[in-house]
Amino acid sequence: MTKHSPELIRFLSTMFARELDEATICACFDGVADALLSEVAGAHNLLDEMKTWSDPRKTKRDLAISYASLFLTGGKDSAPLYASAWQGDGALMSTPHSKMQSLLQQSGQEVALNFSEPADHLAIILEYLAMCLEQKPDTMDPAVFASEFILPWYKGFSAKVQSHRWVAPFYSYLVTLTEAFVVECAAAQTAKT
Amino acid sequence: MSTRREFLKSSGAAGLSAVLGPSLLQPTTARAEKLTSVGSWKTTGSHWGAIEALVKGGQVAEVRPLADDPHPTDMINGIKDLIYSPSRVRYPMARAEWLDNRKDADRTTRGDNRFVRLTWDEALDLFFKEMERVQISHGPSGLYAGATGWRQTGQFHSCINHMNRAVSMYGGYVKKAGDYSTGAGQTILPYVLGSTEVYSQGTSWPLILENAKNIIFWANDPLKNLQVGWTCETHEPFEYFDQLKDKIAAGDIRAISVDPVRTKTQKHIGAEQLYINPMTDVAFMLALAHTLYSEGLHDEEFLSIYTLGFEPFMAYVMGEAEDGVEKTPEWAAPICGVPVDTIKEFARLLASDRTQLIFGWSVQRQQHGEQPYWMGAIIAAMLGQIGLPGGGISYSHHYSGIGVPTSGASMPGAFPLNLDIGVNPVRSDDNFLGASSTIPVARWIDCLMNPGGTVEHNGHTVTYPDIRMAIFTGCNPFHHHQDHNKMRVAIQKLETIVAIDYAWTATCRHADLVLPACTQFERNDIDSYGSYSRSGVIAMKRLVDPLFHSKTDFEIFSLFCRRFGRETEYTRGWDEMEWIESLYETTRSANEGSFEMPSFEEFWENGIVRFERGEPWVRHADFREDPEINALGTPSGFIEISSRTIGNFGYDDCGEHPKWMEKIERSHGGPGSDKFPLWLQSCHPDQRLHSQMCESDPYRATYAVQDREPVYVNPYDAAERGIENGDIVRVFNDRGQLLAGAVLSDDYPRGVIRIYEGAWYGPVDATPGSLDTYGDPNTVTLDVGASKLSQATSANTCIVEIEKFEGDVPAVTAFGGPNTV
Repeated sequence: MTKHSPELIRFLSTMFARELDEATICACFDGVADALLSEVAGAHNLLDEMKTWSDPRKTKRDLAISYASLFLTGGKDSAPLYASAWQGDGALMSTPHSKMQSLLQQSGQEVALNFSEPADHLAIILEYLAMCLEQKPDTMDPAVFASEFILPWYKGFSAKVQSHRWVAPFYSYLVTLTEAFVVECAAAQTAKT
Repeated sequence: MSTRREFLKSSGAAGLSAVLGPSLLQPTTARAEKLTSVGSWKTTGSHWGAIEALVKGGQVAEVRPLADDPHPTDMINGIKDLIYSPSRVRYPMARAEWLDNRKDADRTTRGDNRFVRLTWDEALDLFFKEMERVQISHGPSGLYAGATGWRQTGQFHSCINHMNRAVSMYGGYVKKAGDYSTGAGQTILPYVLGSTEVYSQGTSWPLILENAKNIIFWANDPLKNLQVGWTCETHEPFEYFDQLKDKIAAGDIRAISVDPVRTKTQKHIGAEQLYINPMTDVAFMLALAHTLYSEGLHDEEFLSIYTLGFEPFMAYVMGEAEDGVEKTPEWAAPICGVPVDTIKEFARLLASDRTQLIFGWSVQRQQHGEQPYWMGAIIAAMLGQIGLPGGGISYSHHYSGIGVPTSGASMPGAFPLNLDIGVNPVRSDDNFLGASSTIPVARWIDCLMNPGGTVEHNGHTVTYPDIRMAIFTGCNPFHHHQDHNKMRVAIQKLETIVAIDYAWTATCRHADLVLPACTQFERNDIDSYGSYSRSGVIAMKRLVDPLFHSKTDFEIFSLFCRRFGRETEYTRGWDEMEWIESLYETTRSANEGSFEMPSFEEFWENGIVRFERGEPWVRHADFREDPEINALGTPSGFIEISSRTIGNFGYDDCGEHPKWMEKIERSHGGPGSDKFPLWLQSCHPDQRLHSQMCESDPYRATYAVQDREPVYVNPYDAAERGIENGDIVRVFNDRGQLLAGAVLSDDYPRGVIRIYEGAWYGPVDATPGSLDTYGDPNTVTLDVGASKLSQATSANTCIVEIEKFEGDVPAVTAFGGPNTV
């Protein structure tokens, strides 16, 4: 973990929250995230990939198709971004969603109205993890949260993404990097116990 | 708590703030306080009945039937998972290839294609621009917005009305005639009995139970179909079936199910079964007519007073017509599989006492589907009991509570289908370029494949328009149309397909632009409580806010109309609750002095207004009482046993009176049965409403077999093919192939299998002919018009073969959304 871990987690959250627009693609191509990512072991693939984004319009289209195929349209090969999709009977907004809602409420937070996604969306989960890492009031121990709330389903999610026919390299690296971070967070818990 | 932007600045990575948007979280508002509550129960209505839902933390936690539902359907258990189904369409989506190239896009990959997400503004702009392009380039004949079917309940948000009114605000379009449920019946019966009959209130059950000595359920399984209703279902008829069961047990009534299959109703009430070979009802009924006539059991007085055209018909029956074939029981028996003596005894039974004939709809969903309905009316006329309590014929007692006496109260109207008086469309072009503005609904695929071609329909010649764009809302033709492989080829003719729905149906998957409607449980509405009984008015309260990026139909089409400056004309400047209050107040005014209704506020608070059950009533009693004053709506005003009007059409497949005509394909020794010996019956499901709720995963798991739709098979037929209960089997013919899960049951005779319609279509890939992985029977059904008269669906004219599926079983692709290849 680094001192910028919360910041990195928020960066990852943003990348999962929605498709990238051209401004973001240009900014990443220009190196806006270089300083942040260069501190992180295993992020070089992601950085290298961003350096290929010389055609922002084409990149936006390709990433949008990959994002939709992976996360949005929900076919048998897709990898939904909701914890509920990976636990229980697969119904949306089930127990993991209620639990996330409860955690957010305990910390005085809720999903922003303009996001229009359930609380168990990976982007929300990562945002909450960042808050935990910052030790914001009434948040969980980040290690406990990572090990108990994210890891149980994330590996399945990650495997589905990596095996998807239309996974863009960017999302493949993003998922891998995120997994590494979550594992690292959870390992802190193991170390404590 | 610091804001995200402040945090970024403090962390020394301010440059990233340009990349990261506003926080996905915000401080708790009043909205989140609901989480701490124990929840509250809200009432709403549905096709499956009135329900109460426990809403907790902004979510539906539990659904139960309204306490006074006398017979709640098990399907209530599927509602919660319908709302939270992974198959929900969550965002506006466009097919990527179409988005790039629009009308020049590759259409061969529809159905298994990659999509991208759009904002609502982007999606609605595209929707409008495509409609505008097609209208300008091709006129109204280029746009098909007429396909409608079932919908979610709610009179205000009725998606059919919203689409028609919104598109009409811009200009004209091709519309449809008829429907898939009753196309043949609703076309032939106005010529015979003066109304469609299929959607008409029938004789009240109390009078049937009091007066009938024989009740004949003909290809009809009401206990299966009465679980659902067009509006909020009350389930009131079930009490009468319990009474019927008692009367049968006591020997007061004899009930017989004329059907190849032992039905749910037959088994529940303890009725007898008269087995008949599939699709041979007309031959059987002609022999009944022969027996009635030959043995002098027909009612000559009734026939002479109330009917026309008996003589030409009897000439045909007695072998005095052109074909020279006498339709004796001996002639019919080899065709229909009913022994000669049984035919005669059945005819005598019908004439022995008061006999109520109750037909289902499946029997008219076949080639020549008009004929059995017409023959049913003739048998009833020969018995002379039409218009008597417990006698005559019904074509509707399995539908939406028909047979429960109606209260007589006015019910809420719907959001207007058409333009208000004085409102003109943006484009007044009504030039259909020589083509017809209306096509028979079940011929739309033929239309796509043969633009400019002609087809006969109900006395007219229809010229197929050259359709370039289709809009579907709350309508899933990839469920209800036949021969999906033919469909997949035909829709490649369409430049643009827009689908509006709450779930990724196969129609959405084959669309170019998909807009997410919310479910009925995410909007406020008002509905009739009992479609025909008119037992009350129910407030449909929004249980939860629209999920994800979905919107109500009203909002979608309001925003659509904004694109061409007609939003105010569309909405009249009213919002959702203003519309609902208006519909309620109009109803209250209509009922003033007859039926008490509280203020709107009180109604909305209480959730339901109930009306007293009405007086029992006999269908066609007024006609029987005075056939001149109360003439039927037929050309002559009488029951037309022969129809000069139809005869003058000169059709070779529907003449001046009913005839036995061999089918294009038929099991049990009929054409094609040497190659495909099994009849595939695809009647309405027991645990869905057509295709609605198939996507409710946990509920589907209660009946699916190895995740596949069940196919019901006779144990001997299965054994001959090495199929065991629970096996995955391949069902196939020359039109297609599907996988299904075998359920062996001796309710099904040799040579008959059943797969319920409404099973979601999930082909392995986009290639026409590819294996359907879940089990939609319309993958293999026949797409021909029932006749030149109705051009209705012929889904039940279908023969197949089955085999145990060997090898690697492909995963089910029907649910969750489009797969990408």
